[in-house]
Amino acid sequence: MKQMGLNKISLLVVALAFAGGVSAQGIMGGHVTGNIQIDGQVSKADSVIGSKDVPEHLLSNARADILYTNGDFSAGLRFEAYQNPMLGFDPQYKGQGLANYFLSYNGEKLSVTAGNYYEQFGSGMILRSYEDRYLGLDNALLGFNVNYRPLNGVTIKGVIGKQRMFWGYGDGLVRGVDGEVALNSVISSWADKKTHITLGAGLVSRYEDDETIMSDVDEYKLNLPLNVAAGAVRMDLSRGGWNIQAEYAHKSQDPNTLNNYVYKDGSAMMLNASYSQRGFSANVQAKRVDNMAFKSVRSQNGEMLYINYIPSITKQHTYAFLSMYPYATQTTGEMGVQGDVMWKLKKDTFLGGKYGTDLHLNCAVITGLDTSVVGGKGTYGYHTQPVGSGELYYGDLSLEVAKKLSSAVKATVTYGYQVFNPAVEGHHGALHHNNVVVGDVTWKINKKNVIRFEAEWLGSDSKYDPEVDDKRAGDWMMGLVEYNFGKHWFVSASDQYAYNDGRGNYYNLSVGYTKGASRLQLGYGKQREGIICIGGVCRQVPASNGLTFSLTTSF
Amino acid sequence: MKKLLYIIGCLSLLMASCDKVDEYIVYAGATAEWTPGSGVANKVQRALLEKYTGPHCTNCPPADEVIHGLMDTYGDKLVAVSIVDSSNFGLPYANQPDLRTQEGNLWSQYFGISRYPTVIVQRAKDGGNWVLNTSTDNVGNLVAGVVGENPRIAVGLTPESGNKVKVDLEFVEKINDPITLTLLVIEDSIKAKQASPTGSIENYENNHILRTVITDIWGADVECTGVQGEKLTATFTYKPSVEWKLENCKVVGFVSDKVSREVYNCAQCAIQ
Repeated sequence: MKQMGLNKISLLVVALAFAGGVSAQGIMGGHVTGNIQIDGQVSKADSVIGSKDVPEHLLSNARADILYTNGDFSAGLRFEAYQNPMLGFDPQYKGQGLANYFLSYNGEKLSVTAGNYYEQFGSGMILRSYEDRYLGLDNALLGFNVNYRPLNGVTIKGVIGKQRMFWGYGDGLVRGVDGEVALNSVISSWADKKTHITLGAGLVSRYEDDETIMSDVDEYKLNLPLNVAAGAVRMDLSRGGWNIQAEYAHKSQDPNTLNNYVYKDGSAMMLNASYSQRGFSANVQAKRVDNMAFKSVRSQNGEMLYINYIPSITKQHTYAFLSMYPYATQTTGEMGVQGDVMWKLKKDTFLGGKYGTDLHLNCAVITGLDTSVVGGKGTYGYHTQPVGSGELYYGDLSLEVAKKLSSAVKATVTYGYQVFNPAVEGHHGALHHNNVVVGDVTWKINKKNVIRFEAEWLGSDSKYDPEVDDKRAGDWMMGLVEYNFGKHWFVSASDQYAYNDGRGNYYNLSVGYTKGASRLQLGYGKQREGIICIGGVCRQVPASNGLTFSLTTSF
Repeated sequence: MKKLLYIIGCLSLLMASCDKVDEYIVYAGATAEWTPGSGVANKVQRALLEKYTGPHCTNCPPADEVIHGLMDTYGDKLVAVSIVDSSNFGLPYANQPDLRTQEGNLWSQYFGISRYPTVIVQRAKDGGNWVLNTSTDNVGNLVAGVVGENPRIAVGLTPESGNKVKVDLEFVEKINDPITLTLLVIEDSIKAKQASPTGSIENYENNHILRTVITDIWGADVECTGVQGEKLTATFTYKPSVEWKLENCKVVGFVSDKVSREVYNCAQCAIQ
């Protein structure tokens, strides 16, 4: 892994950009914007929830993004400091420095970025370079990114670079090209058609040096492909309220640590069909993923250095117990479907009542693939049946009913049923079957005072097992009160309690102040060990017990 | 639009480059158990000189003259290896011996060899980049610099019967980083047609041509503590080829840093 270094020329240009005098228009005729976030944590040991003493006493993650824009040109940098990384963030982040810097030109037809950049081809199944600070994930590319728009409706993208890995870069070189054509813009006779069609295709290739990885056969090593390519084709078709999106991706032989170094090609298919009209929308998604973990370093575990991203088709729940067992996308193999319906019952009807009622039904089922193993490391690996499914990974059914009871009171009731297979988190054990009920009432007392009550219950057939030590097991109940007052302040108190077959009582108190674009929040309480997932990408969260604070501001 | 599509097509083909592997596993090279040894009598610092060459490389014969001159000057202290890869320069003339090797090709790709001849001394880096000498002007200085240093580790090779070679290592200084030992076979006096500045040469004498790598191309791990004075020995077995003239063959061994791949020291011996 190469150490991250700031290119002297870019440093000079950025420095020059900021060195000018401040005028009414900003700096040197341009504008500076940015945002700052400082999070901190103090945690102490608690044998019941499993939190440990933090030798540093205070942990902190901080970052400042600065963007300078002047006409078609922009330059930016991000300073990050992990002194030391907060619990749940990889210790390899420890340190501080310039984590991201770039210069960019954005012309009418051509955009070029030199430095760190983020890019995505289609839904990301062959390339998605992005960052998520809450997951502690940043796979920014360092190199060049070109976007060319030769005609209205035609976009060609090109990328070349290496991916960020904590404070350095992975050794693998990523090259890619993508083209997208909006046919209704390119074909003049289609301009007024009601049907809109966009086609796209992309190719990404990774080069990584040879290395010695022994096979399962004595004295024989893997014959590694140094160049691994992935390609995808996609289509977006819409007419009126209908929309259909389809994408298929294929990856060449890519023996890597995540697929146990097998030589089977990878593939992924994604289909999304939706319909919407006033007061109603429905969406159906289906996907099949087979051996599509695509990283810029073949031996890399964890969430860093992913070149691609497999979109999640499970619902991103916001309530605590519905998101207690989130689903982590299995890039090595999975298939599933999701259906989602939102229906607004009209007001002044029998079911809609005086203010109308919102219904939201969601259902998702994810399974493994139907595979037959032919060998381990250094073999083809396995065969799959194109339509057959394997063991159940995840099932989720939820119905949310939201209703305004009066001009000041709104209530939401949610029921959820989830089936969770511990295998998706790498554990053994039986399926967990969970029932969740959530009640949420918001009372707007007046313009400056809003109070919200939330009650949740989770009934599970899982029991706490000291050997597995999954602190989520058992039956739970929770209460929360949140009070917003005086336009700027809020306080909240909550408690989650495992009242049967589980462990732990997790109380939390927090207070916050918001003014303009700035927000300060202080919290004290206990955090249960678990997993948070955003878009199917997950991070382990260890237990903590103590104070947290967060300051964010933008300018 | 057609031109644009053509450009996109070319770029796509370029980006789509992937390597299809039919043989999933390959011989990993000889390994051996390291045991305490009796040390190396001749603790000398030698230079490893690798020259990327080929029958169609016009400027390779003059480079050979320079290298032979250096070998006359430094004798045992200079170990030369000539590597023919699968570039156009490495293609054999009709009815001529094929001097290309898969190992040489992998090294060539790894070091980014694009011009011939290219000489690498001690697999040294400068500013993180390999020092690739496409001219022999500075090669003498590089060799002199290497052999003028004190060895950090001494290497000794001894041929043994049964297609074996005994390797002795002695740590003259402490080495903290992991190291590997790479063993390979070179052959002298291979006659083949060769391009030169004055035209093709029939029956050009190719010397120290890489024939095979006995260990893995990146070397076999040396199981050591790396403390000063540590002495280790191991015996490796190689598989001779019927294409080699054994009386013209030698075994070359070099110790290198496992991560940076820069060479510490090297040695060679005749095949018994």
